Amino acid sequence: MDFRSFLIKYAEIGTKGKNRFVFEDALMRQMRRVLEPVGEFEVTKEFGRIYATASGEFDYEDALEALKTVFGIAWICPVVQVELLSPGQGAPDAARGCVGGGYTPGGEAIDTPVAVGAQAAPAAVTEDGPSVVPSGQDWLSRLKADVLAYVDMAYPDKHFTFKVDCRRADKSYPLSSEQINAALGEAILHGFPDTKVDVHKPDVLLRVELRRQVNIYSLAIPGPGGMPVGTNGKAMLLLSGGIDSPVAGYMIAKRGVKIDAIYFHAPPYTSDRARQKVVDLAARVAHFAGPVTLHVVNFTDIQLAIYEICPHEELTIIMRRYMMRIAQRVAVERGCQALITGESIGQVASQTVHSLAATNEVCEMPVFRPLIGFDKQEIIDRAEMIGTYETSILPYEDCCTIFVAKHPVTKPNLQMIKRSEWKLRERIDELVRVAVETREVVEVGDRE
Amino acid sequence: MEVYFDNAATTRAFPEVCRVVAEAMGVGYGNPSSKHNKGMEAEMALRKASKTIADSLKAREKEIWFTSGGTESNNTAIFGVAEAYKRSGRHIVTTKMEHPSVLEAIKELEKQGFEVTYLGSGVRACGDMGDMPSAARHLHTEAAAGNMAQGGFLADMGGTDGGNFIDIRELTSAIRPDTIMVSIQALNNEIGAVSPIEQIGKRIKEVNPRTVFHVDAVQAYGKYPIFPGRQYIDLLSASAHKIHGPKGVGFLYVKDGVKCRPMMYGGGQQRGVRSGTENVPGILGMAEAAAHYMAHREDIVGRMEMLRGALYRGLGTLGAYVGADAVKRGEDDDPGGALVPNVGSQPGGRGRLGGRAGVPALTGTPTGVPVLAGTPTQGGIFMVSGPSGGYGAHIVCAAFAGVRAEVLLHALEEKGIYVSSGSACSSNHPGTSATLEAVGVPRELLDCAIRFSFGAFNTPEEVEYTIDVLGELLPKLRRYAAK
Repeated sequence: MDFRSFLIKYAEIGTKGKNRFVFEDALMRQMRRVLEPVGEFEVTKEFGRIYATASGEFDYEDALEALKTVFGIAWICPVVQVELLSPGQGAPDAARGCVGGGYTPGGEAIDTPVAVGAQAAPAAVTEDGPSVVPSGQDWLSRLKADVLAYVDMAYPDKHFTFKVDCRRADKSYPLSSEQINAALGEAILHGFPDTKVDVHKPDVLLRVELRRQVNIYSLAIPGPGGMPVGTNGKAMLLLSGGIDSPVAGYMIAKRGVKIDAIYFHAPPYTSDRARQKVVDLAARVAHFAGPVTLHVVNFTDIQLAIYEICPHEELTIIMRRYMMRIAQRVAVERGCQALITGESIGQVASQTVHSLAATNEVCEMPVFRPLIGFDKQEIIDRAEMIGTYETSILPYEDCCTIFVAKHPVTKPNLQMIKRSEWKLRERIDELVRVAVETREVVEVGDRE
Repeated sequence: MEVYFDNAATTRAFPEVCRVVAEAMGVGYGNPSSKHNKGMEAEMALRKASKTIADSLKAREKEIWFTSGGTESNNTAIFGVAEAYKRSGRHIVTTKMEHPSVLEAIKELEKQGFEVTYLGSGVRACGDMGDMPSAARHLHTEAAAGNMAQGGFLADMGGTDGGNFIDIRELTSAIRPDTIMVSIQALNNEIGAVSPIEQIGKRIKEVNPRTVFHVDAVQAYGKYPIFPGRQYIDLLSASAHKIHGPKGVGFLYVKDGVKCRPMMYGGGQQRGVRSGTENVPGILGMAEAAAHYMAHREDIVGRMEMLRGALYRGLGTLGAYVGADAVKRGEDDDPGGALVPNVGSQPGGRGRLGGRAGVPALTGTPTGVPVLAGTPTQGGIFMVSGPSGGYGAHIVCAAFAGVRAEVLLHALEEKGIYVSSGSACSSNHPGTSATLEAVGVPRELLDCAIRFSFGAFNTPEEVEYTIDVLGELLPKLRRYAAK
């Protein structure tokens, strides 16, 4: 007996009304994407639930790790599924308890509200589940055997308290859920004398669901939550190579937003290693958000023009304003509806409220700043969690750290900034156009 | 044009090395420990390689331990000697200018309770102090008071006590009765300064005959004649990929009778001193490279010296070209612009590792490099390596005032020229080079040092091209120097 199937529980999608299927389909698409390298899986939707079931060899831990990266998943429950066959179609004992093995509530029909189908024919299935007609005690003893096998597999150490929670999608079973709970509980206590029942705070809550098949599960591993990527538009992430921006990208992607990224490099002031670092970070974001298109913009000439013509202490603000302008142009071209930055109030001179306002002034589309109220340590914790921190702290220059004034303005005056930018008027439009047009587009897959 | 001037980092393998390595992998692939013929074939090849290496040092085969390279050799020497001799004492002498594979190993011993004396540099970088800003002027004073005074670092390395990369007097007073080891680099990897190894070795043995002398010769092996037996060297580290051999292989010479505890235990290969199946392709490749180097040493080193001289002269002319502007800028707004390269009128001394009569000179002066007279018009390039004697033929380190080394490195890279920056750092993680600091490079220039290093494949045209490119790049890059 092995876990071959994962039951996926989702929280927020469930609240969506008529377009619920859009969310479920996106979730299934993302699950298929991450499971593809793990093995062959069938991802199916069944009665408002999503299952991923392996059809071949696979590594359980790898599958779990993959599913943990899919936004929209609240809980991952590894499930043992035993098929429910129609009465009289007894499965060979040898196959019972094994994957693909049959489970049949054999015996005669008693108290059945639903007519029995032809013998040996598959059960007719209604929206609510199987319409097979279980009866007698045969099916129960087999169910007990399966549950015992499950407990034995899932819990090598039998010192725990438990509670059985049975649900019947098909209410035609001769016993009530309560009665089945009691019968199974007794069987477990009998089979494993070290266990104890605790109906209030059990260590193990063993769920047994009698659906078209029998689901036995007790583990629930938390997923990342959020909403499946692709359900909520697309946004352009300004990716710098620092700690913050990949975290910002992660957080917005978690709300279902597809991500494009833009990076400004300034050779020879920044190296190809710094660029590679950003590609690596984009790949890490893609690990969660799906493949990311990264736009690498050569910013050197713009930076040098600003450096030459504008007051030094305004350099960073003006530079950031041009980055936003360029990002916005590329975003429009790429069909994005918003920009994303990793800014956080007061972290550096260019992120004071005044500076943020001055930077924001050039933007027409909404700018998402999910880290705006975070402390540095909170951001670092998240970066560590999503696995970008190690890469982010590699000591390569990015273009923001070059040419930094000793005393940059912290309360930029918009009029003065505009006046400085006016001095650039003869050259800047052409420089921006060239930067946008000569950008390099890198498709960053989710497994790089 | 691709110009590879980073040969102190690693080198392209000689074509015959590639052939030997490929053959050892594809044909003579046996395990030297196997009892059958295929194994014996490999063992014989290994013995031949062993002899080639031993001969290059005039040493015996059993004194050669094959390793995975310079780092393993240095680590084995330091930990091996410390472990073997810790009962006789727990004091070690080294210098601040060593390679990290020595320094970090010794720091680890320090944590374990060993006491360490770190020697400073006996030389000062840069000389002529024409029109220097304050930081450099301070350097001048210091230098004038010290070893620079007469002849500076160019003093004959086999000669007096003063004026060398290693100050013999300082070394002498550092050695104590409980000093078990002195570890000193033969040729500094960052600036190319040469240590008077024989002189040092002789002095160590005079002060304390029981002190073990380890020499990190990773940059010097092959290029210069080193004969441990005659130079009082007990252990010597070398690496193949610095002399156009394969990466991942090197050796440690351990003088017969000197105790060095093995670091690897296992199948008892190499007489038990370094277990693990021998890296036969690597070792054969290293022997091939060493043999080639030995046979053509004068040609190769002579050419490198010529290239070094040409680069030095070229940088001088660049100074002249950039200078007028730089001086003007120096007066206006550029604090780092008016530095003058070291262009002293020092006599071209002949530095030698050997220093013994009959032993060829280690570093000759590149035949009379016309060292430039220091004039203010040469502002902006601070020569960290001296112009000739006392410095290895293959390394020139220069600091370009007003241009961050990393930026210049990448700008050169765009033109196909590969060099190293003195120390890898960034604004987030200021890295400092102990060597550059030890030789007194002014603080504001620590970030501007570029190392050019030559190998057997470089040509005068490449130097010319590099000078042209620098002449083009420097004014542009300086235009955007930090405000």
